[in-house]
Amino acid sequence: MPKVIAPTTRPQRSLWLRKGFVPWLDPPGKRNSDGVAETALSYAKAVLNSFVAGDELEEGFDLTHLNPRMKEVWELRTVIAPQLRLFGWFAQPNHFIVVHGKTRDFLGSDASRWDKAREAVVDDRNALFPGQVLYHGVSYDDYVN
Amino acid sequence: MTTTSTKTIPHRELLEYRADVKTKLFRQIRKRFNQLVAGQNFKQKDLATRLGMDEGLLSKRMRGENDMRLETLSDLARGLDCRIEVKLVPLEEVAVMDLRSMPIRAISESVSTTARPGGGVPTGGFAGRVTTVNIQTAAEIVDAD
Repeated sequence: MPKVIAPTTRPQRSLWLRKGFVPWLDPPGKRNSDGVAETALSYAKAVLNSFVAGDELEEGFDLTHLNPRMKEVWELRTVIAPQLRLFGWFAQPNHFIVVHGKTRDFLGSDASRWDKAREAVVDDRNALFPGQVLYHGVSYDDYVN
Repeated sequence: MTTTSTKTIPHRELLEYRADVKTKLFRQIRKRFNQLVAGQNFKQKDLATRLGMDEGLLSKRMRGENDMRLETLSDLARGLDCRIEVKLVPLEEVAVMDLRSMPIRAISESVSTTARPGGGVPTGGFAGRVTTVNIQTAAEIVDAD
């Protein structure tokens, strides 16, 4: 039976998970391959459910368009520590694809790690949907509303 | 009154429910805080003063850099002149969403036919790439292999 994700609410947005991301998000044991505990992962699932349920997501806090914007890579973040960052892109408004995740602690202020995290989305996107025209919006509402 | 199962709820599911509650509550607190700050009647240091808290610590809390205990959430709400209302909704009264009725093909078709801003039609799409539905997060899993 399908599980309820939000009472009396039909999904307002669509969410897609890269197949390789699923074991990271939902490991068989108590921790995933990066050592992230299931408690932290539960917050990741909460934020993903929140996205699907159509909850208001604060620009720049819940959901951030990473620079350079033309690469169309976004991060969805868990709002409570230990913070996780889920990286992906919008195939179209309200349709987000999550490619991978990292802890905020791991990323820190190391620009190279952030670059790598961003480029991983670009690479996976190109591998998944070669030749697909990228969706570009102008304002935040063009992506999620 | 309907019968509640005596089967043990998986620990992970309990974690996810906790995360969902805290995330929703914390988001509302941030929203209220942002509204007060936008009204220019309030600053973070005002909230810190009201709560008798170090401003640096409060700043961390408002960024979600510390774990959120119920005591903290309650204090923040009170500091923002709000009270928290809680309503329990029995799951059997909730509409169960049939995730398989989610318009997967419609999404695929809309992706392949939606015009990109500025012209052009995206090629490719999700048709044939969606393999399974992750029930817990209502997300479609994209098969990249």
